[in-house]
Amino acid sequence: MLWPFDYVKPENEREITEILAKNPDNTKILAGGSNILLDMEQGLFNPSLLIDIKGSKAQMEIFEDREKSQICIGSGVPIAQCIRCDEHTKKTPTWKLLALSGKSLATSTIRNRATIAGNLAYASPASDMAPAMLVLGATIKIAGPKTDEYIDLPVQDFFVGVKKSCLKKGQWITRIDLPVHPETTKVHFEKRQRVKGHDLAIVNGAGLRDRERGIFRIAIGSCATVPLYFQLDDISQLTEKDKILAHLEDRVIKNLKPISDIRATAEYRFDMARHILAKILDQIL
Amino acid sequence: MIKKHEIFRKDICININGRDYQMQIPTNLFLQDLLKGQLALTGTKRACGRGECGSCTVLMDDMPILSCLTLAVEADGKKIRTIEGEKDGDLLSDLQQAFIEHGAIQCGFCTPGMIMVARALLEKNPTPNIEEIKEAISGNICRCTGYEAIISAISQVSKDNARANNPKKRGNNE
Repeated sequence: MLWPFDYVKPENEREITEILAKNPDNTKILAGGSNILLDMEQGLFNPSLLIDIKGSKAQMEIFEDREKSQICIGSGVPIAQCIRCDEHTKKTPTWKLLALSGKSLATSTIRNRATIAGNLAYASPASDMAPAMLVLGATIKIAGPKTDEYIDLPVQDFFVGVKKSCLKKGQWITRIDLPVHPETTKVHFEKRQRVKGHDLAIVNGAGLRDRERGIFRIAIGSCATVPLYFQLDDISQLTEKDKILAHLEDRVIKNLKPISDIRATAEYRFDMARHILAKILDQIL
Repeated sequence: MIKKHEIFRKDICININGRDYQMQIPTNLFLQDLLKGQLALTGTKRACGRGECGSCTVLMDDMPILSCLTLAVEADGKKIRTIEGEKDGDLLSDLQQAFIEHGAIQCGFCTPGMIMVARALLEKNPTPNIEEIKEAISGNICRCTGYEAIISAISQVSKDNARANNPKKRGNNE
């Protein structure tokens, strides 16, 4: 049984920001609810007010802004809606990476409710969406605490610790904006977990490389207090896998700080990180 | 500070298995508890209560969701289908009949959730292949059958649909 709380479902962004500003303490934003309701059910926290953002049209939209060349995903859009597979999305690296990482999150039933914004806001070091967002160069649109106050925050600056983001009281995520990368860009996502199906990542990671633009990015999750991002543009032109792996050993693996927990030991995480980096390179070289 | 005995209530309108309900409910009530406790629709099962087993799966606006991790107030204005709505009067649905014929039920605890997930799959894709069926039920745990009979049952309906090109057939439970 949950502790009592008040529940509101505003009809637009402005209302959400206003209510949050008036009730900055002990208020939680409710999107998909797959993290927050579970934590509430387990008594980890007891908000006095839940603001359900699914009543706001802007938060339930997903669209391609062709003028700005970006994909805009409202903070209430279920991940299931972001996983598309048609002729257009197959050719678009951004959609492709969204699908690869989105499909690894929990189960298809949970993905009918869980959201990318919620997954990021929860700020788990093992977030399944974070590596993809990092390498794609996502921008997190944050509103509040003042009504017309918005920040466009690069996702690299969002995570500050285990289940800690940079969101201040009165702030909330309205949207995630993803650049549409050209077809010359190669992307891939890998996740290692104990069981096939619903499990947290032992290690996960994403890679993005475009030799034409000289871009090479790697992100690794579940190996530090936050998902880690590495910009490696200076080696974007290398083609030999062994040489690249040697660089990654020095610049990525050595910067990982995994812990030993119920899912894996730190040593195993190091080994799995090397393994998934090799798998990612197989797809993006 | 809110005390444990305080109750916040909201008015909701909800359609469950084709019937409209208007009610005032506590905000801290899970959909599963509304269905099982207040409406005596006990077909939906509670096992883990943590969103890991899928036994509480119902359809909300034709999509499978976990009723143990969905607040009842979130179902305001929605159309909910539970296992009780699967059969038509005394007639079992094609899925229910297939589950019986293929021995896909042992203790029966996972069955309502499995059938609801399968129903959603078949409505979206009347002829799923084995991999698509496995993907669809990947969030539903069964401790008894080893899954093969469940997959066979759903696959049978898929094949029947392919043969007849008829999305929903009825069986007879006599």
